[in-house]
Amino acid sequence: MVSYENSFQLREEPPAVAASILLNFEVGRLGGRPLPLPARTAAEREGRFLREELGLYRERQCVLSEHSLNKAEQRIARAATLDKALLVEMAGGNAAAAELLVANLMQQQQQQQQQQQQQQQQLTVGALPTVTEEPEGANADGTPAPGAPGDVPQSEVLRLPPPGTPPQPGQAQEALLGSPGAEGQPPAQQPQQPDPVQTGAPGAPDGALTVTGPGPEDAAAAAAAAAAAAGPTPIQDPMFAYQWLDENGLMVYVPNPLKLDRERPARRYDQDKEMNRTYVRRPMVESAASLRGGQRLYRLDIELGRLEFLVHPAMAQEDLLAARLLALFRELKQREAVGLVMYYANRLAALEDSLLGAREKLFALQATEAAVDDVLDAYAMLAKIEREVAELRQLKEEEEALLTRAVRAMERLYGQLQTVRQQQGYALTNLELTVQTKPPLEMAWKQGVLTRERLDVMLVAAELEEVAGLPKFPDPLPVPEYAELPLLPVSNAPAQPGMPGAMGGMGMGMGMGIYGGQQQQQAAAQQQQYAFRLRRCETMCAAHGAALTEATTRLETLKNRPSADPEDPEVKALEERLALLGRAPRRIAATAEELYELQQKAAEMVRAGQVCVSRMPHLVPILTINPDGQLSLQQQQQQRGMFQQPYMPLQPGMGPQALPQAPGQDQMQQPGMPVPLTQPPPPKPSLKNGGKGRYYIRLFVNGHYVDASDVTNLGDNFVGEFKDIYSRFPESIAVHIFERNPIRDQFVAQVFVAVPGLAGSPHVDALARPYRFTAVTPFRTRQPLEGGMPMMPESTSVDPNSYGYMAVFPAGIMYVRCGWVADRVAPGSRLADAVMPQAVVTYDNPLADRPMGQGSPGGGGAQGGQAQGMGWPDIEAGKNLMPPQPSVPVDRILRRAAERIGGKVNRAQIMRWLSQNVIDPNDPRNAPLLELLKTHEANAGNLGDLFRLDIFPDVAMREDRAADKRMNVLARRWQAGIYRAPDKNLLKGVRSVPLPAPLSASEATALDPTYLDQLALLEEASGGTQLALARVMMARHEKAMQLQIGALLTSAIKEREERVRAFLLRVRAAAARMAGGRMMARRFRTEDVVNDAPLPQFKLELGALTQLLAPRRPLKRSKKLVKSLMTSVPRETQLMVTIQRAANLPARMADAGGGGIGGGGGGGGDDRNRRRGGRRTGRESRAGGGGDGDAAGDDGPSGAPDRMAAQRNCFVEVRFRSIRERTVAVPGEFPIFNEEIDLDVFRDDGRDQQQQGADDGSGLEPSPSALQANTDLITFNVFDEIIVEPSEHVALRRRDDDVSDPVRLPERERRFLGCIRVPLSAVYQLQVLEGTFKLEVPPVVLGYVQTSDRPATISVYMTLRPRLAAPAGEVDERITSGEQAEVNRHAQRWLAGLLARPQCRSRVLKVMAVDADGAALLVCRYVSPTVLPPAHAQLVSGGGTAAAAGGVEGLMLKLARFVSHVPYMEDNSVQKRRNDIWTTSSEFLHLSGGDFEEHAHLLAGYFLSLGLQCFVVAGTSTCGARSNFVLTTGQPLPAAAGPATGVPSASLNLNPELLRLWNPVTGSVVAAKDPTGEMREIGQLYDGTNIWANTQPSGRPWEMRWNLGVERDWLPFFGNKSGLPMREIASLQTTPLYEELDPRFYEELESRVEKRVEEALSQTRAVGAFMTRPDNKVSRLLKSLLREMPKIHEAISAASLAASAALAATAGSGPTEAPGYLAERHKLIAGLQASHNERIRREARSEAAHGHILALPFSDQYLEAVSEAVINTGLHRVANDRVRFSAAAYVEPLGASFVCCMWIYVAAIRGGVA
Amino acid sequence: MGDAPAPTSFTILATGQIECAEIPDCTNAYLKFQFVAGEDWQLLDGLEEGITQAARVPEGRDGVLVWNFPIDITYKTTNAFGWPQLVVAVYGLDVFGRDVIKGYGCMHLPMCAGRYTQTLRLFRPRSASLLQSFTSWLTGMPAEFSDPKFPSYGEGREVTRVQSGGSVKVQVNLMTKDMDVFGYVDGSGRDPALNAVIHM
Repeated sequence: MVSYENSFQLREEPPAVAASILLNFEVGRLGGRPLPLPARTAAEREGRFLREELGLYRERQCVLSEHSLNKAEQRIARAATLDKALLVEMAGGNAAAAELLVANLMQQQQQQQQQQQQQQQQLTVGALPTVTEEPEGANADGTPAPGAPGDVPQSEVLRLPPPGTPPQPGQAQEALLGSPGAEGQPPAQQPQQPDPVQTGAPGAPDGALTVTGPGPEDAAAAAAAAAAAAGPTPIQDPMFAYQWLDENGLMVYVPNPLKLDRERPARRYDQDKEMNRTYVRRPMVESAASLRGGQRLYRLDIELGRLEFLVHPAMAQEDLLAARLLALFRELKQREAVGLVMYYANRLAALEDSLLGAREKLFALQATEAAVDDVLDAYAMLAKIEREVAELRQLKEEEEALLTRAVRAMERLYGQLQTVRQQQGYALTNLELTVQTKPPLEMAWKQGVLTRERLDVMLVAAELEEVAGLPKFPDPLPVPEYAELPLLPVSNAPAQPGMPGAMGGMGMGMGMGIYGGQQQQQAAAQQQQYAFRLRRCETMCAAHGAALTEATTRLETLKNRPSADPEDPEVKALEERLALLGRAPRRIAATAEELYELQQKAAEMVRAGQVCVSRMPHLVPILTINPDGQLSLQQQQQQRGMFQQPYMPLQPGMGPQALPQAPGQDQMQQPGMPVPLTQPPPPKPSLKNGGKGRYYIRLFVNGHYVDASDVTNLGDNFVGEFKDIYSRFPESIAVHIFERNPIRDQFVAQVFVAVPGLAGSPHVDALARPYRFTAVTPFRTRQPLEGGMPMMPESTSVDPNSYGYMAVFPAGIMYVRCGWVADRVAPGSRLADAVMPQAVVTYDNPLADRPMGQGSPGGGGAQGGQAQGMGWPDIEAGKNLMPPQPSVPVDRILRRAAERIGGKVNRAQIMRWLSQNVIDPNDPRNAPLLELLKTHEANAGNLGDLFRLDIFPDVAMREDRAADKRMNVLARRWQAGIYRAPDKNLLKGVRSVPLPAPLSASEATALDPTYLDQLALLEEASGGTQLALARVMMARHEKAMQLQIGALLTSAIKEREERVRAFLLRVRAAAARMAGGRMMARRFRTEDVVNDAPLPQFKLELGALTQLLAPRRPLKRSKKLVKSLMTSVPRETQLMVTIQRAANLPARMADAGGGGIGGGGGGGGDDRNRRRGGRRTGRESRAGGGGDGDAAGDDGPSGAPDRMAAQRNCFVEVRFRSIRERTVAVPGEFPIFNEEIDLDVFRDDGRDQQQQGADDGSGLEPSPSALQANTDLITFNVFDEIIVEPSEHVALRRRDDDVSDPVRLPERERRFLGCIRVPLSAVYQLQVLEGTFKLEVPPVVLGYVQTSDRPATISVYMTLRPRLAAPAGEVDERITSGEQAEVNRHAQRWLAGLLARPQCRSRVLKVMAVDADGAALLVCRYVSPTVLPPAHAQLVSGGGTAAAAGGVEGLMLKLARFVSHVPYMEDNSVQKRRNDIWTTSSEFLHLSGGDFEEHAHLLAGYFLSLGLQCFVVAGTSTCGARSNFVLTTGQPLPAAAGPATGVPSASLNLNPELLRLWNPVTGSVVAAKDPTGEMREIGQLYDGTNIWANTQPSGRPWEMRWNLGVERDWLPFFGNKSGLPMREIASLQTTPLYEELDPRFYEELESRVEKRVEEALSQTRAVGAFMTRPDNKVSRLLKSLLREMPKIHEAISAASLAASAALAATAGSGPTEAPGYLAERHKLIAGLQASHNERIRREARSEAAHGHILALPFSDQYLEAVSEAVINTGLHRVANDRVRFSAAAYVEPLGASFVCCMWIYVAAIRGGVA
Repeated sequence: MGDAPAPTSFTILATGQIECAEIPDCTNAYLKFQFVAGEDWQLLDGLEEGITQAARVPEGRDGVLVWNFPIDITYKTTNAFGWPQLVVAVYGLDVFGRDVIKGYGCMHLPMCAGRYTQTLRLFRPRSASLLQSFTSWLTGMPAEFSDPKFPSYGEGREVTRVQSGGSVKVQVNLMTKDMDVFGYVDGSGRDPALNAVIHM
């Protein structure tokens, strides 16, 4: 029945909605379901349904949402109750009318229903519907009034006929109807439907008609008629079928009640999920007591049984030997039983077969020239198989060797046993050993027709085969180490000392402690050395691959250099080899006969046993225990002794090797007398103390002593019987065996007894279990008394130690039986009596005892009883035989398990461990553990590892590595120390590198590599800026690339870096140690952190007076005086550079100026024009050979350059950081510039940061220390400027340009002539750096000639503005002095005294230097003679030839050159802002890198070892603020300049004429008198004995007095009046080790440098959009020219050494006369240049060329240095398209690793033929 | 666990103002401030350094330089190391209009959320000698730290001598976010363990 009352709700709403009928249909009632519980109704009322997806209830929301207007309309349309009028009304929008109609309709229907109900109530007396029914009905009847929304819930209760009324025919139908209703689509016709059915009208079609029929009246009538005809009717209603269709005419469908897949309500456990609990039914405890209802009490009985000694101190030697033999035998058999040999052999054979197949396939493919891919596939396949074969064969052979060794050892043992028997004349034991030799097991292998022999033949044949490009048969193929093949030699042998060792791990387990291992050594010596050897056929691929790779890489290296020559014989040889090798191994073609021969030979070899593998015979030891006892043995022995027969009959299968010891034994027996035929002596020597000793046993349960057994005597067979039974409750049971001695009992061994019943074992041991034991402490053997046994004569001759056991570790077996017995069993009764045999059962097999569970009354526990009571045995009920288990909580089990792991008590770790290792998840007994684990996992997953600030408990445990790692990461992160550098915090670049702190241990472990990587990156990037980072990344990338190209070079460099890093670590460690665990921090000075007003200095300036008095010279610009002198560094600091003049510059060669390049000097326009005209005419008349230019060109190379014609138009470029400034170009050989250039050092506006950021990160905050540490170079480049007219020869281009740009500016080209470099720190230290300096001129400048005899110079003046005074003295750090206290004190006083003098204030003075271990030592200790490098030492020892080659001077030059080419490495790179570390020469050479002082010490050491007097000069030079030079005096070393003789004043009075200053870094030498020298201010001199401080007013070497004995001028450290006397000073230096690298290193370096030069040129040119065309032909020429350079260079430097001395001599007298030496030098240089010029011109057939030779030492950034040097020459600036570039490099090794000279030749050639 | 992904960093947000300073014998001054934070700290928003207007002491008894300069800065990080510091430097203007340092001061931002009023005591380096102090007075260039962030370091302090004088009053409101996730109890009364449970 239906109520439409809900529709009233909507009445209030505007009629636009038309009508809507809300149907609520309670289906539960329909289906006959019980009424909902009150809770549910309440829930329903509140609109909140329990979410039970049972298909019956839905949430009200869902229900409501389906009653959309649309559907409601459809339903209405379907409903028969709607008539046309209603529809019309609805369509017309007359809502009120429609409502009225509906209301009428409903009223009528309700009336009908009421009638029916009344009828039914009359019919049936049943349970009345709910009480609310009647009033509601009345309400519905009477007032279908609006405004009753409140009772909506009530109205839902339908008035249905009470269910369960018997004559309800429609009930079934109603149920059917109910189900569509359950779907929430109460069809609109439904409410009507029951009517005809209920009334049971036979004219149901009528009813249906009435539904669609004319009006409600008819329907009512029909209903009434139907009601009248009541009666049960079957379902024949057509409408019934209609019910199966929904309002759209579609099939109404209901969800299939059969679920497709299994599912459970969510609240249940899904068995497929992990959260599943395993229930294990534990075995129930069985006891008779439980049946009786008593308490279940159990008891553990421990029954001690026999005690058998296998090794016993009282045993005779023979017994011991026998026991050992037995043990060996046992172990061997165990090993054999595994059957490894056969397993390996079978696999090996199969693999070998496939190897042959693969090999043939490869060869066949090669022969038929198959596709590359196929060949390579086959190749790879073969390589793989080969490797496998080799590995497997090694395994097999080792296993075989092991077994063989074991058998041999047994034989030896048996031999000893025999000897012992021989000696004593009787046998105590009844062991016999026979060894059968059988053919190797693998010989039995067979597969089809392929037998092992056949396979061997084939393998040997493969072995014999020749493979192209690889060595022939007898030689093994070369295999590189990195091939993944088994190791070649296995000769090192932990396993080798033989059997006792190899097997002996087990043998020892038996307690065979042997004191005096001589025997073993003998045994080892007897072993044939087994070594695994790779076969040829196993290594073919690897060898081929290696050969191929090597050849390819080498060829690549050779080919990839720009100067590569395809005609090089080396290259050709390599190419041939490559061709021979091919891409895969190839068999050398052979004829059929040859092949046949090969096969024959192989077969022969196999027959002869040469199978190329080691194959050991299969030895079968047979150990017989003679049941007849010793008697027969003895007899046998005696017989043997008499008849000298072999003591064993040969067995049929026995090979010749069966008894190797037999001959030896015969030998031993032969000399001796035959064994006396006495009767066997009394079998046991009777001993006191009760024979073998008396033993008792103590029982420990749970670690507590419980009881002791009776004492038992050992029987003859070393077996004692205990008959004790203990009844205790156990957790762990230990049995201690003691030997009863009269005075003190001695502990022998401890045996742990397994507690039965634990872990599923039966609760009663079925039999006594044997427990092996071995004593931990040795026992002295109790040998029988000497007299008690007959001594054999041999015994005296035999070394008693050979197999005499002086002490043994007793070992044996203890038999114990334990079992749980019920309490009622009387204590002390034997287990066998107390325990029923059937009590021992297995658990967890419920079916096993099912019948028993039913049958036996003893088997029934409580459950069993139940099961019986139910008449059905519970299968799952375990057998109730379980003893009480110790109640150990799971946690405790875990913890105990953890103790086994290693004492970690951390719960999480235990969990991890358990989950990883131990637990078998399938074992039901582990279920609780697993569950626990799961729980923890779940918890851990949810919570995560919480971060905590304090230390983890894990961290506290040292062994927790993950946590340590975290600490490491944090510590390193902290040490990376980029946090507080003030200039870096601003840079966001740092932040671009994510470096989060690791929070948890696991994170640290996971991210550790990343962090370390990034940290390393940051450490490498000194600035921490983005740029630096990028650079480092690039460098890494490049390194990776390089490793691919030049492996040798890169690995060598890498190794060097490793060394440096190791050294650095050492320094750091030392620093940390010295500073008491604290890293030595930077020591700040106040000036560093505080900007203070400068201290005013009051000084009388007399210079101003002299200036006033001086003649006025208006043309000479006077220097602007920078007056104020400041100690602190202001923010605005500028570097003021005045370039005064240059001198002696080389000149353009006449033709170079005239030919090809237009433009001469900057003399003037007319000059240029004239020249251009000349050139034009020259070009035009070239064919005729006329023209002045060409004529000059022809003459140029040969003749001396005409000074008048020489042209130059030079300017100076100053580079500082990224700033470049240049002067104007001034013509002439002696150009005068007089220009002042100001460069910013620090600027307040922050721009300096950008400036220096491009260069390096060393530009720092303005502070003195930063300035002092600054290594920024000020570079002065002298260029010749050539102004090139717009290139007219490129006609096309000019035409183009004419269109767009008719006015072309002349292009300026520059030619590099020379440079000087001065570090900023030197300027700072000196305040003013002024003077004339020699230009660093390339040895050859192409296109230029040296016109002057003298070297080119430049005069500059540099100072900082405002003028800054360098801080006085050293920055003292907290250093630990290694010297005596008085020396320390004196050093301080001495220094302080010196610094007090104004002239010494800023000089370099240093008494102590910090060595690598952090101790400060006197600088004298660093100077001592040093062994010469090998090459030079040869020269010295050669004597005569050395003298001829230039004498001592030549040698000195060579040495200086050597030293100068040891790579220079700034200390700054070692560690920022640290003390300068002085290393010894050996460390210096080892690191192959060092600072100024290291170079100087090395050079001084060499000079000293040559017997020359020399000093090390510390001072300021143009090379650096603190540089060390070497001063040679030209005198031999004073013979006895020791402290004993006092001050040898004669030797200290130096002759200034002979003094020479050697620059150890550049290798140049100047006389001390030479004012152009690099050393500008000398601070102190020192040698191995003393230090002299310069106290003269001038520090310039050419102005100084050089008598060191005069204290006024030179203040000595030792031996002055107030100070310490002279003393012997031990040197710190040790003999250096000279290493040399592979020559190919230099080769690779050469090609790398060459490449780099090219790249540098082309890249820089590419920036200017210029093409760079290489000319490789010229490159080759350049290379050959370079190779000649070292010799010429040597000659030049020798000449310039002489010349500089001569110059120095004439220093004062002016440049008028040129000494002869200069002329010679000049001649050399000029000749060299001329020859180069000419040869290049001829080769290139060019008009002109210009270029340079550069020589560089190796350094850390050699590539950067190379490109910098090349770019610095400005060669790339040539803007001419026709120019071709050539470059060549030549690396000249100088005799030690990394000491080499990189010669670079770059040239630009214009014109010439393409 | 909640639906939102676990935070990868925690955030602190400080707002407030540099209120005023009380410096004897200084009537006209401005203040430069800087935030100095550790490596991990990433600036999310706000100015890390700034300079206030020049303030004058009003006539009257309580001679206080009032700036009321707002600060507003947000950092995020993963750990507390290098907690942000506020470094201030007060510069006075002397009669010639030259900037003369009056004092440096430094403080850590508060660690816990809340509103704080902090007083920074000021100090400034002293000249090395009397003569220098005299000349610096003459030239109007008293000694100052070469690095403005120097007050926030420990390194190098041992070689300085300073003189104290005056104080700056700063008022900070600090908020934190997600600190508990990283295991820091930030004093907000929220228990990290409890939170973890709630989020679960």
